[in-house]
Amino acid sequence: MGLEFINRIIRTSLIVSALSFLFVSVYRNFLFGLGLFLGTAWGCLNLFFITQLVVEAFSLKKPNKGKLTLILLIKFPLLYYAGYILLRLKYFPVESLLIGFTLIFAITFLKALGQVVLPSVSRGDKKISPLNPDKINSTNKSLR
Amino acid sequence: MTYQTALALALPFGLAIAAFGSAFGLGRAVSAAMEAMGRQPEAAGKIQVGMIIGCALLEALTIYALVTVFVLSGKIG
Repeated sequence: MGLEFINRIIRTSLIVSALSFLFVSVYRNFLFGLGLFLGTAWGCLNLFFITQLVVEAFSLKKPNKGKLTLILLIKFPLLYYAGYILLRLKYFPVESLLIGFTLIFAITFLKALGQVVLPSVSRGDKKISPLNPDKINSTNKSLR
Repeated sequence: MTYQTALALALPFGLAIAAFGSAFGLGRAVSAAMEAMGRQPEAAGKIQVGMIIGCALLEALTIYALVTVFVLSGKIG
């Protein structure tokens, strides 16, 4: 589990929110769907900048001060102001923005749960099927 | 005390408590992660990922409180 885990969370969240946007736009309300997508996009950007900030500031090598300042300037005033504007516009329902913002955490939880429950699948190995435990592939035989 | 007065008094207090809790949690999480990275530099990558997700979750709690305050502040006056 490295930094690619976070990249996968961001990618999956954006895909799920894009699909949700399509479904919600068709079956409920276009603005609700767009708010959901924008909430997720905001959450993904926030997570991306947190990742960059932590990697740059708390890495074992010497931090690049210019990059660190740029990340801080983008994340704290700009991204937060964008979130404030999204809320203050009252163009999108607040619930949709919050659902979109929460989606990323639901996906993080599910992905982490998947890594715990299916560790061999996340490693890329084939696992013994719980439905057919007698069927063991060569990798698992060698492990036994 | 009217409903609006109670709300105007409670919102800043609620936000302050949420910010304090979040800051306290973030401080503890980052300090523990720094200590763990110092003890085991070879595991720094895994510790960083855990710390990033923890930071994001903690920050999200404050953002929820902030959104609630924004929504409820519209009901004052």
